[in-house]
Amino acid sequence: MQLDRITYAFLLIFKENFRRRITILLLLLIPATFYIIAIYTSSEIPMLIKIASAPDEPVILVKPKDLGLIYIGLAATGFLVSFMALNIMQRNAPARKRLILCGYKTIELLTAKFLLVISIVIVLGIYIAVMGLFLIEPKHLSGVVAGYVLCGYVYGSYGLLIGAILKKELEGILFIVLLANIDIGWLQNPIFYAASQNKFIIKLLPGFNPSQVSVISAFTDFSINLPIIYSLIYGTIFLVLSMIIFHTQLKT
Amino acid sequence: MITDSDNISKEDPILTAHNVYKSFGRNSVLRGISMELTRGKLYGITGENGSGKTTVLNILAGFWKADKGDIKITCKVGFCPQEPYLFSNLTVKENINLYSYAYGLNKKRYQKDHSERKRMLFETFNFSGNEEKIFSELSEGTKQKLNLIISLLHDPDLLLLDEPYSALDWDTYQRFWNFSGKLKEQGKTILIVCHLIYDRSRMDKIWGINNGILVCS
Repeated sequence: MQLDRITYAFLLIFKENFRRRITILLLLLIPATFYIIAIYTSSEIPMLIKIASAPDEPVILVKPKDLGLIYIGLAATGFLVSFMALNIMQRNAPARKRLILCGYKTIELLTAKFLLVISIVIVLGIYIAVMGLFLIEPKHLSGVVAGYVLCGYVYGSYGLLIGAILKKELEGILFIVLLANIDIGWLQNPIFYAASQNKFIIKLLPGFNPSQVSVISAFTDFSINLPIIYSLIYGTIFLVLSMIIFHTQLKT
Repeated sequence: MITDSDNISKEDPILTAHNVYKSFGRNSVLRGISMELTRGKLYGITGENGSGKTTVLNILAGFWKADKGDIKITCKVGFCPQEPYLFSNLTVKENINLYSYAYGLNKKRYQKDHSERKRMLFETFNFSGNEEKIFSELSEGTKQKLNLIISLLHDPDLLLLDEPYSALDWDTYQRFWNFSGKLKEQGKTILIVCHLIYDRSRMDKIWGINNGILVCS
């Protein structure tokens, strides 16, 4: 494994993905569009919600608009990062295989891809969280940002896994949009969660822990250590699975 | 792709394939292909559409796995697939650099020879002036030239070419054959897969594929 080859692959995979106009357009438009929808559709009348991952599930009073902004930001992060990870995994698969045939090591390409996804997760998580800060004032800013970054990590790893399993982009996007929409956009939101008949299933979904990190940090002083650890475990499982599948497919 | 090539005499085979089988679902494409390639020869494989020509080449190059059979290669291989499998949003220069890294040609001790070889290949295929262009924006013929150049960057001893001149213009087609002649004189081996081989007289041996088996023609 050579560092210069990893660095060069990282740089060119970055260029390969960010030279596409659609990528830049999505990065700019999706968070802004999601936030605008949340601003104009949610109420400002305070309501009571339960914090699912805090001890004894305490009840707090929040504005649905503030809550909606947090969740819509999380959904934007999850969707965008997983879409980009899917692209990084799926695009130019035969060219990648040829590169390996010519002497690049699979582990070098894997490392370059992994580092790129992590970079995107961090940059995008911070970017979308900062956009949201113009609209709400969270209690603990760092925790909110951490939740966004973790959401990016879990969904980025999910995107890599989907990209490794599915060869076609359309099916991949469908899987991403479906899960991101059902999970963060719908089930994790306390407005639905509070009245849900089966919270256990909701807690198993990938968006649960990262969204808890952001919500707890935004509105309370409770500890976020456990949801952070669970988010990291969840994302790492997706990541390891995707890397194993990718490695197996590229064996020559 | 790169194996030890020293201490091999001209008569020793540099590629040996024995009893190679490949199926796609129920469709049995290759049914026991065997061949031997020696140094300094030009070989051809021809056959009808869907006969398995590309399958043979992809398996020999290691791009696909055979279901059964043995393949032994004792030299540096250059593989030019039918489709130019390159990175669509990278420039020509970036693609060349990336594959140069793959071949290990970025190391200091190779840099002078590598630059010289790149210059020679660009001249041979009349390719200069395209370095900064994005690959997806190139014409089919120019893409194919780059496909060929990338397979030749590391000065391979054995070239596996899948329909290499299908999109080339007449001038480049002639340049290709002149260059192939020079490679042959240098002791390099070339295996060309083509739908129709117009240039039979240039070949030392031609196989056809019939019912999944190689037949001398």
